[in-house]
Amino acid sequence: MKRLHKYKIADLTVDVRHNSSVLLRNGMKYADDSSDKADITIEVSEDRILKALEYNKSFDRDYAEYFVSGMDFYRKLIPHYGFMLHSSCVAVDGKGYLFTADSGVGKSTHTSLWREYLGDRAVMINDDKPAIRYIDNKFMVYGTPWSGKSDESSNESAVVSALVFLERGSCFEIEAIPCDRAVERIIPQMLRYIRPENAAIQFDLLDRFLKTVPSYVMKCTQDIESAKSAWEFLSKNF
Amino acid sequence: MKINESFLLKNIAGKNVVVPVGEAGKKLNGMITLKNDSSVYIWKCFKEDVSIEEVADKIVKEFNIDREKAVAYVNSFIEKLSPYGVFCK
Repeated sequence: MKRLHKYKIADLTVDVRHNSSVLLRNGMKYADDSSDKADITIEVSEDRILKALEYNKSFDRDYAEYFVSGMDFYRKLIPHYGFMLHSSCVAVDGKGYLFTADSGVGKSTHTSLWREYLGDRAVMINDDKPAIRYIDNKFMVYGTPWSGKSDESSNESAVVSALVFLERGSCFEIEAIPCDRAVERIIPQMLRYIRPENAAIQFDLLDRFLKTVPSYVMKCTQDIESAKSAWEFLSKNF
Repeated sequence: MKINESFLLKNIAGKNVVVPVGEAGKKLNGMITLKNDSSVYIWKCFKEDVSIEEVADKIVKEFNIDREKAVAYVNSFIEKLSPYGVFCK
């Protein structure tokens, strides 16, 4: 029998039955000892853990359970007007900036440079898969225990202020793009396997998100000057 | 011919996109953009089980173009989207 762990994530009470040392460690910041009824319950079967191990040779058992429980969380988040975005999110003064790109382009590098430049003023909300929810007529971004291999996340939230599509470049360039150009870029960074019953909410959320949050394409080098330029540009626009 | 219900046409932030849901998501990684009104119209026609000729007839009426062009549009549509498995077998 797997042990029950109660968490508070993205303003939701989440019950997870698991034996993963990885989730145990990463989940500590989110532990909740209230007796609130769970909004989301998660338990990953051994079957699915084995399947995950088959598909990902670099996983061990605990990491596989951690990974699959994360996928379950983001799927079950959708009916609560939330979704996952593969991105690195840094927050400054309560405003969240989402940097998204394929793996390896440099999202984490860029956001870590924000923290180098701004010090404690910048908070890493989630370095890999922040949860975004539409609450009280605005989009909030949250840390979760599922933050990729480097476990960079904070149990914090911020108002989503910008969506930045990151590309490597030889000098700093940033341009605002209309929401229809953001559609093709953002979809590959969201959950791939959408259940039919969640599709309507997921796409309505995405439509509203892109019409609400300004989108940018940013090309830059991987140095602190880029972080400075990005911060100065993005913070001025609000 | 009919479009598989696992492919949904959604207007997201002003763009008409076809997104796979459920099992179809395993085959199509991402989405397909329908770039013009005729593609969107043809898509909606194929939500029912119809023949190419029937769709061509509808296009002739809706867009006021000649039949040869209409048939060409429909065939081009099928050619572009079939590889993604959007049509029911």
